[in-house]
Amino acid sequence: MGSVLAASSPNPPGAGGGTQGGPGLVTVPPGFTMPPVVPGTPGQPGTESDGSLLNPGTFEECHRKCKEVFPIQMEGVRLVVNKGLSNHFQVSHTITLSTLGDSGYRFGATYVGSKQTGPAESFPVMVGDMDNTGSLNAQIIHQMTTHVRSKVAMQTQQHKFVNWQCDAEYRGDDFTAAVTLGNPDVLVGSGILVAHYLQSLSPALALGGELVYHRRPGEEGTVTSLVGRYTGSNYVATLTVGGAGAHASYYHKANDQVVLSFSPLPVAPHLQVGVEFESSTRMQETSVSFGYQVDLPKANLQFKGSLDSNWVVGATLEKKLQPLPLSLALGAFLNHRKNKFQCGFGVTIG
Amino acid sequence: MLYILHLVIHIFVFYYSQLDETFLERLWGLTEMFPDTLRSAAEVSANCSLSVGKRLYSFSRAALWVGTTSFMILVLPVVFETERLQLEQQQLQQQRQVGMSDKLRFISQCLYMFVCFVFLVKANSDFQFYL
Repeated sequence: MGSVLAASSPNPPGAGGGTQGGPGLVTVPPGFTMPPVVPGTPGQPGTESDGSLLNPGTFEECHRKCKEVFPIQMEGVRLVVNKGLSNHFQVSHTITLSTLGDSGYRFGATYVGSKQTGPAESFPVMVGDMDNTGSLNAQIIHQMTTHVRSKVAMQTQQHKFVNWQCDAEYRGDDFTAAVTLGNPDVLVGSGILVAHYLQSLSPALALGGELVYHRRPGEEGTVTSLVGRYTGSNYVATLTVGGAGAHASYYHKANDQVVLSFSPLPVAPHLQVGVEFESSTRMQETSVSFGYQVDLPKANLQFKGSLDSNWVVGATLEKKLQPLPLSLALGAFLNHRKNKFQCGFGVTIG
Repeated sequence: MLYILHLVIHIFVFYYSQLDETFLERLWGLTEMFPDTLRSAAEVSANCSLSVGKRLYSFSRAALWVGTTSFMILVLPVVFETERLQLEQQQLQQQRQVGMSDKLRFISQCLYMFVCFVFLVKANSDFQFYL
């Protein structure tokens, strides 16, 4: 169910979609999620000068800040070449060599339109990529009016359509409502309908709910969940409780002065810490994860590490090799319980 | 006297050969003089300490492996990079402080003296020519 929802990205085309190729391009995060409204801190509510509330952001972004601190598992070798052909168009080539899965080549293209809605945003945004086996991921995001944004996305596996969904999102002054229709099939009578609502009650507190209705010939069901998010000066705490389980996350940005007192360098590394608790009723299991991210801007280094209650230890290191526009990523994951190790590295050019 | 001793040894050997006990069994039999509770307590504590020792040994092996590999993955790269950065910064600072290196200074001083010498010789020859 998670792959149909707009929250997760089932097939991320690597880091190809996220780098700049020209001065006017929008950084579009790969996958099926909407690009952030404000670059930097999406969905951070705050007060304007007269005390009114700001838009709380989208429902999927509630847990995103904590999730971004954790490293992703890398396997095999990945070479990504990004090239910006113009202000509006960007192309990426990805070659993946893998020991466990299939090796392949992937071509991705991003087109950003000319309707400028913000300092770093332009619409419509069309992102697509195609595999060497013919699997296609495509999404089109367009801002219909000042408040309504819509998205159409589809994903195929060779020639078979696996995912097709469309959704519409309305951003009000202090609330966000979104409706997603996933895999609708009129002939068979199946589909998934997801409705999100997020309301900011105070500059720090936002509450919301999600309703998932899925229907197949012969069965239908509903899953609801509630979400609450509290934002402090340098931390964000989010809790999601629902029929599918509970998910609590805490994100903390460490004070630079405190980190400076511990670091051996005269320059403070930026430290961000995230703790996550997940429990699922379907799989009847719970897990706690602890992740941290260390940024050394002087050494052009970004290091992410994670520690899990399933005895999984993982880390990712990303280093920009100046002066070339080259970026090297190394990753390693070790599962102590099953005694399995996985490592990978990637090079991104451009 | 010797005959009596000989007889005693024969009797002893006779009795000993009739018993089917090894030396260790005879020693173990000596423990039967202790009361039952003491014997069972000793047995339980010995077994317990042996199993605890085995478990401690295997736990320490696993803990050492888990600790070393996790430290290697989670901490070591950052340590390497910070040490390298520190070294680079130190080198830069040193270069700025020391200025020219010793060799370079020696060579430049030699050159200066040579230039002065050449100038003096030329001045001398000019003076003589003038004279």
